[in-house]
Formats: sequence, C-alpha cells, structure tokens
Amino acid sequence: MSIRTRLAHIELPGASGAMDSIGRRLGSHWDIVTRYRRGTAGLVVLLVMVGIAIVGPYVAPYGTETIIRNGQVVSSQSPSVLHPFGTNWVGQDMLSLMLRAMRTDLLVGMLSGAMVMSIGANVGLISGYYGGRVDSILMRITDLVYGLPLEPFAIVLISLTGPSLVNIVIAISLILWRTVARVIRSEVLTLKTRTYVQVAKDRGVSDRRIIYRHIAPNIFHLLFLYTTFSISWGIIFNAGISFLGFGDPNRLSLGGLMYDSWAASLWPFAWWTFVFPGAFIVLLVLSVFFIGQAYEEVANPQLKSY
Amino acid sequence: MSWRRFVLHRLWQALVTLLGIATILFLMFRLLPGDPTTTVISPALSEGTRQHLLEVYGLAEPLWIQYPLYLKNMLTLNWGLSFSSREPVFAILGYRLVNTLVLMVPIMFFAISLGSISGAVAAWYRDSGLDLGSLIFGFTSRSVPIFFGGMLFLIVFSYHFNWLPSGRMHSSLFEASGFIGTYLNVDFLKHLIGPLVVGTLYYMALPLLLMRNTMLEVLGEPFLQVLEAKGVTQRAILFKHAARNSLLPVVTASSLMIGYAVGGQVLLETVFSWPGMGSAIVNAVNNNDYPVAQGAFLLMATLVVILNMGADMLYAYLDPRVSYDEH
Repeated sequence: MSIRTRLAHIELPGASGAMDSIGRRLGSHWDIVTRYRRGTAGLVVLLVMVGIAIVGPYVAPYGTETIIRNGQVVSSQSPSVLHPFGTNWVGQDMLSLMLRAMRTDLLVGMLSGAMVMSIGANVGLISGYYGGRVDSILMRITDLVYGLPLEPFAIVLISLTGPSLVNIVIAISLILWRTVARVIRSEVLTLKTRTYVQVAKDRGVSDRRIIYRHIAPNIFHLLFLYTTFSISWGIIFNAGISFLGFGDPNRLSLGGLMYDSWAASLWPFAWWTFVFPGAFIVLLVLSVFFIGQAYEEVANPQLKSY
Repeated sequence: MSWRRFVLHRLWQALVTLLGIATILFLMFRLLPGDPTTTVISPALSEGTRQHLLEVYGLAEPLWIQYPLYLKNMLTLNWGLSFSSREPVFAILGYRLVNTLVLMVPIMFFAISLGSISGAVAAWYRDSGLDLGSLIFGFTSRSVPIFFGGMLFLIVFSYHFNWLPSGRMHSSLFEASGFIGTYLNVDFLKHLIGPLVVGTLYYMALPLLLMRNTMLEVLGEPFLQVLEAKGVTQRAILFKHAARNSLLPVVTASSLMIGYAVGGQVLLETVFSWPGMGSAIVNAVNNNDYPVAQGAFLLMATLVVILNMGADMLYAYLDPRVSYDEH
C-alpha cells in the first residue's frame, strides 16, 4: 500500500461480497438491530426535517417582526405556551425564526453534497483512469487542497466575494471534494485493470464512454456514501461559518440564529436563543450521518470513515 | 525508496504544496473583486506612504512582476504591516501562533490518546452498556458543532456554577512576561480547561469510533487466542497486543483530523475568546485587515502541511508494510 492511496484503500465490494457480509453479521443480533434502527431513525428524522423546511414558513405562528404585547416588546422571554422556544432579545419568536431557517441549512448541505460529489467523482475518475501525468497533476492539486484549513479559507473567500448562500456552498465544496477524489481514484485504479475494461479498450470504445458508462456505475455505492458524509459536513461547516458572522445576511439559518444569540451577549441568560437552533443542527447532522453509516455497514463493512 | 529518500521526498512535496497555497492566496487577494491596492495597503494611510508601499509590494506592476516579489516577501517574512495596529504582521502572529499551539497540541494529544483507549476498551467489552455508551458518545460528539459545545460548556460551568472563567487566556488584571510567566501558572490553566475539554471531547469521536472498529476486527484474529492459551493476562492482551495492532488506521486518520482541527481552531478560539491564530484571522477579516488575514491563513496552512507530513512519516515508520513509492 502506498502512502498516498492508503487513506483511500478499500477492498472492492462485489454484490456477493455484500451478501456474504450481511449473512456473517446476522450472527450478532444486537448489531444488526441497532444498525438498521440507526438507519431507519436517521431517515425518519431527515424526512421530518425536510417536511419542516418545506412547510415551515407557512405554518410559523409568527412573522419575523418584533412582537409587542400589551404595549411592551416581548424581549428575551423564556419558553412558554405562547412561545414554545422563547423569544430573542429583539422580541422575535424563536420557533418562527427556526421554521424559516431550516431551509438554508438543508439547502447548503444538499448543494455542497452535490457539488462535492461532482467535482470529487470527476477528478477521481479521470485521475485514476488516465494515470501518468494527468494523475500526478490532479493528485498534486488534491494534496494542495489538503493543506488548506477549511474555516479560514471560507471566511477569507467570503469576505472577498461577499456573503451569500452560493459563495458559502462554493467555499465548502472547494475544500471537501478532496476526500471523494482520493477514494474514487483508488477504486478506479482497481477497476480499470478488470477484464471488461480491457475488452472495451481493445474494441475501441472511447475513453470517455469507458469512464462514464463502464466504470462510473461501479463507484456509485462509494459516491452515495461519501455524498451523505459531505452533506453532514456541509451542514456543520455552514453552521460554523454562519456562527462566525459570515452567513448570507438575507437568509435566516440555524447557525446565523446562534450568531445573533452570541453577538447579543445576552446568550448566557437566554439559553433558549442558542440551544434550540443548536439542537436542530445536531439532529440534522446526526440523521444524515446515520443514513450513511447504516448503508456503509450493511453494504460495505470494509469501509470505515467517520 | 530508502527511508532517507522517502523523508526528503516528503519534505519536497510539502514545499511544493506550500508554494501552491501561497500562490492561491496571491491570486485570491488580487484577482477577486475589489481594488487590490486596498486589500494590501490600508486605505487610511497618507498618499505618500501609500505610494511608497505600492512600490515596495510592486502593486502598480502587472501580476507577473508582482508574483516573484510577493514570493520573496513571503519567504523573507516581510508580510506587511497590519492596517489596524501598524505593526509588522509576522511579529503579531508569532505570539498568536504560540497561543494556538499551547491549546491545540494538548487537545490533539488527549483526543487521540483518550479516544484510542476508550475505543479499544469499548471493543473489548463489545455489546455491553459501556460499548453502547461509547458509541452514543462518539456519534453525538461528532455531530455537535464545536462552537455549540463551547457555548453549552460555558453556560454550565462559567455562568451557572461560576467554576471557570468565561474565556480569554488570563484574568483581566493578570500581568506576565516570558514564556514561563505566561503559560505556567494557575491562572492560565484555569482558562485552559474550558477550551481543552470541549476540543478534546469533540475530536475524540473519530479516533474512538475508528479504534473500536479496527479492534473488533483484530479481536477476531487467532493470535489472540494463542496468547490467551499461553496464559498472557487479559489486560496485556488488550493493551499490548490487540490495541497495538489496531493503531495504524488511527494514525492515518489523525493527519486528516489535525487538518480539520487547525481550521476548527477558528471556532473554538472565537467561543472562548482565546487570543490565537483563529481569532486573529476572524478579527482581521472583520476589520478588512488583509495583510494579517493573509499571514494568518498562510501560517495555519503551513501548520496543516507540516503536521500532515509528520503523520505520514510516523505512519511509514510504524508500518513496515508501507512502500515509499508513489502509487
């Protein structure tokens, strides 16, 4: 195993391999139950979250305005029947803000997942398939990206290009594709020695067609897995960037709400202004992570990536 | 490839990576929207000083003349003057770098060691309550953003119980000089506890989960039964044989984790108002103090590259099966 590929060194899971491992793992009842439960739980929570994100703004009990009751601003009120998640120091209803904010976090997660997947898969496929010079150049670039710390890169980029949802997605994706590229590349290195690829080559099938029609379908399981991980990292990093005050100023986001709470300096005395948004971030990340994890352990027990 | 050649090769690779990162920074600050002169030289300076600095940094020249000059300035640590304090960037950041390291190195040490030990123990007592507990801890801790963890810690231990300070590296009246005076005293340690605990709990998750997984595989191997039959104690089997054989993936993952931790330091330092590189870059970007932002970024990237290289070398040293070849 070489130094560079060892990070991404994975045994190739054939369909029979996956079945074998499921069979082997049936022996441990405790294992299989929690594994499936974990995946199902993740899926249920995620679907509920997506539902909230879609209908949230329409069912929110209040708007984003400052609420005035009996001639007084209801500022920093602890959770009550009228405001289940309390109000912030401006006098906005936390629940209503969160129902509107969920969209941003999900959107950033999914968009960065999609972008990470497309950059990483293409770099990995091309690098692994062509080898030689193309491979060395692409892998040098990947090494370079491994040297870039994410949060500093993101805030510098965003401060230069302006805070917007798209720029945040770009900043996150420009960093996170590196892992996917390495994993896919090392898989392609094995796949391209397979007979069917050699046969296709001998028959004069174009490289492009071999890459995207013959090799690509065999890396989908990896791609799916790493996309779920990228989504969960995307959500975490987006929250962090928003918490630093570099979120899209025109959109509510869970991390942004936490930033507002933090910036108001009243947060130690109004825990509900950051604990509820924080808890929703955790739920979101956990649900996506569990889906990937359950899939990973059932379909490919050799893979270990957290 | 011999060990010596491998080390030299890896050093060379790290240098090339750093050159690439410096180039990316150069392009980011000059090609992205905005007047490059305002991102390198403070707009608040007088016209004469501005002209002088424009010449020093070659900003009036086209990019291909600026670039070698920029590299030379970076190499000679001539990183410009801070817009806000007018001090040389490198002098400001040197102190910040030490502060970051005194926090980050212990975090990494505790995260990796405690994480591996608990992962090994969890695997040993597989399917027990302890194992389940460690799994739940691992998954949760990985999913709680570090700044959220920090805020929760602060609200409980600083604001509610009033046991620990609510941030910064020293009490406001504290005055100290010299390394020992600054870092080796009770006041500093009290301030260190919060970010150290939060950081350790956050970064422990990965080594814990990885170690548990690898151990489960190793524990199924026959050599452990042979050892048991030979009468080796359970404790010795667990720590001396099984755990030792499961460490490699943890070492591999550590290099990635350290990369994330250098970036994550930005959030941790912000929450705990720790005067390190992470909070320096946030302040610099917020104040449009670009020379400091650029310098801090470059230093953090250097840290990542050096630590990655170290982890790679450690891995190659530990695993005799590794070939030093490229592919």
